[in-house]
Amino acid sequence: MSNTPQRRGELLESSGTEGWAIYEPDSDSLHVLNHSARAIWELCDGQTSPTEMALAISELTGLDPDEASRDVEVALERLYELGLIAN
Amino acid sequence: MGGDRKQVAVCSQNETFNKALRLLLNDFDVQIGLDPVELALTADLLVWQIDGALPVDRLTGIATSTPTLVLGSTEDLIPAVDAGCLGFLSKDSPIDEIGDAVKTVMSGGAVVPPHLLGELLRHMVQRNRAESQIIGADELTAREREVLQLAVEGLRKEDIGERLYISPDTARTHLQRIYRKLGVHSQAELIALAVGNQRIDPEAL
Repeated sequence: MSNTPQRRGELLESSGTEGWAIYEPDSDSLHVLNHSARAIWELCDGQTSPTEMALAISELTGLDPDEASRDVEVALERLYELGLIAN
Repeated sequence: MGGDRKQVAVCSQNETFNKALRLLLNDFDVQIGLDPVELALTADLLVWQIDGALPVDRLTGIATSTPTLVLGSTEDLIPAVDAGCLGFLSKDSPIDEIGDAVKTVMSGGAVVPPHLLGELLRHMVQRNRAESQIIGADELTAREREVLQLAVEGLRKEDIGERLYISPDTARTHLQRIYRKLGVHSQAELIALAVGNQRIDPEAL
């Protein structure tokens, strides 16, 4: 996977209570992400590395850096599988 | 006043709010006051309902040692996070939600409005980039070098804290800064770097 993943798809308006809907036009698919997954998806701007994401999450939430790093890795793998980020 | 009961300081000018929160937090000793800085000095946790009388950044250096929950408006959020506050809720949040947030922050967790998480993380990334340009990787503080030495030996944050007479949370904060300065994102990477080359020999920095 790329060192700076790039998000794909378009964020759609939603009530924000259960999560956010992302429409991915290439596969004509719709995915609902929870708040954490959506936040990581938004960080995938093609310039931000997983290391930077993990440090920001660790500092913001108080999560151990190693744990934040593992969480980011798992989330990015899942987003990649869904086609919502690209290398 | 119970000997082992945690102290929660509440800074708000709203008397009804103060009374309600005191009732809700009956597991804690609740102290009410008007100066968040003074209150934070003796409390285990500070709840500050921002009223505009003091800027949020007055908590810089205080919120990192006394876990702080800020009740404010959206524009207070980034200054509160930059000051080191672990919790943030809208000042209009239901009282039971505030009570739950107090317990979360007291137990070491963070409280962030989910819909603002993305915006806050982007801010953190930008802030970290700006800081890393200023600090430079070779400028570890003396305490960070001590923490680095122990981390490279494989100690966990709890053991590092015990060894250096600091709390595990403080050890974690030092580790976060070390990771950022050295460009690694796990203790395993840190150790691998130490084994692989001399770059992070604490004595050499």
